[in-house]
Amino acid sequence: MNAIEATGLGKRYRRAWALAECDITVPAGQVVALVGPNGAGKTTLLHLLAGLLTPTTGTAGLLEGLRPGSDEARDAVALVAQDAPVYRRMSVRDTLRAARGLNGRWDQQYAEARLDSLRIPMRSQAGKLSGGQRAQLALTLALARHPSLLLLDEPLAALDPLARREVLGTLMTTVLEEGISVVFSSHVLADLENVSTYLIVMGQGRVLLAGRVDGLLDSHRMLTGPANEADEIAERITVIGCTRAGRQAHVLARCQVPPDGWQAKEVTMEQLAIAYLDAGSGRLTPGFPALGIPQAAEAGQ
Amino acid sequence: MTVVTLATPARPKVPNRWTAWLIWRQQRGTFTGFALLASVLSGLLVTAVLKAENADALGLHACLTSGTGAHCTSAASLLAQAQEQLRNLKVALLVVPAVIGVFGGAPLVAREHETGITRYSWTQGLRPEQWLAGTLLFGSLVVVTFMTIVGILFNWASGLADLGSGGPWSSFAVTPTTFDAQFPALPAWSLFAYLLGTGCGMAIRRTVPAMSAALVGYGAIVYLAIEYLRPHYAALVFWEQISSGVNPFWQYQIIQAGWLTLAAVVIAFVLVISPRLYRASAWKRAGRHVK
Repeated sequence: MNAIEATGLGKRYRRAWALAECDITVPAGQVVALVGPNGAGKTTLLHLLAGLLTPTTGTAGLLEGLRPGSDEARDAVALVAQDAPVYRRMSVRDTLRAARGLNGRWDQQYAEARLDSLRIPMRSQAGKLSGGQRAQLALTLALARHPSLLLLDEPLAALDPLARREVLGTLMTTVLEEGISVVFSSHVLADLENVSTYLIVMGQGRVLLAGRVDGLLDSHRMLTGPANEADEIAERITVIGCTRAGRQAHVLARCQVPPDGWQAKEVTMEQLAIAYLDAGSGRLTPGFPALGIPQAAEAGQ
Repeated sequence: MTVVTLATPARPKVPNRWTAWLIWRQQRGTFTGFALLASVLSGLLVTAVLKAENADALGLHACLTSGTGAHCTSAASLLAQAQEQLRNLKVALLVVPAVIGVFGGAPLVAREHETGITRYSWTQGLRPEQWLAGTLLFGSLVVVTFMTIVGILFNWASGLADLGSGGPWSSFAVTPTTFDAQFPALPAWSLFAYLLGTGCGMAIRRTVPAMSAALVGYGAIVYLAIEYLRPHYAALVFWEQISSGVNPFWQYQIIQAGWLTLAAVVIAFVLVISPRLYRASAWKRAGRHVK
């Protein structure tokens, strides 16, 4: 079963396409890292899948071909939107009551136990919780619905590193226990590197790369070799990004066996994502980028 | 042979009683505002009624018919006070529907969009239109109930204020402008304004612009109704033609309250039904663009 199937999905606001020609097929049970800079179309995609927006073009099916926003999809899909929106003037207890009124499928015991273990008091006002606690409350509201597909839009963006780790940790435990499919958007890839099994890289409203993480890492290599051969390499294999340092060139390419005279190293998810983002941003001329890899190397350190 | 049919699991039940609780919890501030408004108006109406009653008790009727009585001066002064108060209240009651539309209707959906909470509340099991239908039903009941009480009080008070008038309906109570402040036109205008305001909020999605639009929109419709619609009401045409005889009050009220209620129901229907139809057709249209 596929958790998400989108074909030609696009959303236009007036003249500008926020999302265009999005084709993705994500099998169920994956933890998807949806990565891209601000304005890449991540939120638009998630809002389309959650049924908050309607597309200008294309189709989308969730779980077993459910149309986003249909009754069945509403029951099975949970979205935690950016900044973790909750009823700010309600107490935590009232927030749970409200969630009961908004959902047929609702596990009150689970929600209470989870908040209790996180030491979030029922009496406190939701709007006065710390950023981390509010994110946890929003996550609890989503998880207590026992969704089959969980969409998280930058759930860690407003959190300090300690809270980040805690939110991510508790989340991943639940996800693995319940076998939920998760899409996790972020512009900070480091958060997702160790947990995700599927990668979607987006830039300027387009999907630049999508696939299983192990497959993608397996099919790409960071090649190091003489700079004067780099042009020639680019004609033989698919080069995503390239940098030159003196007489050496570092080339991120889609290949497994390095050409003669070149050394191959495995790539990290972050290098891969950033190379595709740079290639997709139009900053690079095909084959001979100047900017791609050093950024990845710096960000990785 | 036994045939086993596997029933698909029933959709979990929503809306439920917690949905009603949620709507109450969200709207209680607005409802309290409506209640306060209605109480203040009712209080003022009751004091006007008491003044008129006192004037009557002081022998006002005798003063006016035979010119005799011990307390004619104070009785007349009390009646004048009551009439003055009712004139002011009439103006207030003509404005009240606009207040309900602007402060009760317009923010209803606009505020939800503005705070971004719709990204939570509209992606849950409950459909947004179910929430909207429940909220509008609840809100409409509250508006109609309160304004019915106020309107009936005004009917009563304006009847009493005519104690001193000469003809059967020559004075205060029976003029078309007063009609709109009375039951059932008053609750009908209020309901209409409430739903119109909600519609503005849904279309504009920003609280303050929606409130302005609701005010302007309501004002425009009142103006159009007075200028172009009301002159055709059979009751009033009839009234102008024969200057005495039948009181056109109920005929007028039925026409006025009738079309307003009908318009309110149409607006509510459009607000609740159209988003779902729009979503379904948008997905269908988008699907045709797949190569």
